Amino acid sequence: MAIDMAYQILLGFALLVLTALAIACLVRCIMGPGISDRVLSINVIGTLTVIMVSLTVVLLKEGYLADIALVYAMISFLAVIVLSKVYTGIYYERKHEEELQAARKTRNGEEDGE
Amino acid sequence: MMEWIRFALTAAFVLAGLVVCAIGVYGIFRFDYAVNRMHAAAVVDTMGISLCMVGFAISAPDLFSAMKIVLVIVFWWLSSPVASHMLARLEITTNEKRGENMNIHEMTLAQERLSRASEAEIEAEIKAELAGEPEKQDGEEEQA
Repeated sequence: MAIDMAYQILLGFALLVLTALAIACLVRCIMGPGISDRVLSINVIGTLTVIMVSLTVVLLKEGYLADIALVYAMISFLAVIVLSKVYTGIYYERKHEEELQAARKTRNGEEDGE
Repeated sequence: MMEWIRFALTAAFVLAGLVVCAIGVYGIFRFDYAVNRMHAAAVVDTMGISLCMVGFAISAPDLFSAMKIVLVIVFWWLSSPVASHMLARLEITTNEKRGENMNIHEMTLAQERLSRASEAEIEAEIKAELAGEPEKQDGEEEQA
């Protein structure tokens, strides 16, 4: 009986600390000046969540929660990859649009001069 | 007695993992540039998660779930470098003032430019798109 109590105290404390760290990461995610700072904080929040889900395996003594941790790890990895790819594509698209605008301006200017 | 030894091992590993995680999150706030922050976040991604997971695996309810927890560590160690690489590429590509914060070898920049398309191809593409547009529309846009 005492051992259950000891586990609950240890794991409850660990859960509190992990939650505080995740909230700190969320603050960084909101503050972060660039897009890569935000994606980075999302990545760290994913890591902390995987730790928390695995913690519940021991806290609730339920083996199937380990599967959920595994699936969450995969989703978190996929989220970072997709976000990086999407934002790189958006950056290139915007740059292309700017170049197009500049070309348009020079062409119109030439026509006016003629 | 055996149970208490398991508990002590779990407590030692989990508390060490929490300290490492806290150091990593502190590093995210301490550094002031994204690539430096990535360095701090890698601490959480490798040492923090593995220490915590080893602690949980020691006192998991059965052997099968302990092995699954170890599988999570293996998967994370395989996927985290790939994610960091993609993130670093995003930062290098999108940050136009990157030269102020770090030294990039000119070769890297040249490779990046080549990975898009050659300069001539980009110019040809822009000309083709401009040719497709009716000319009056451009004038209207400028007036507006």
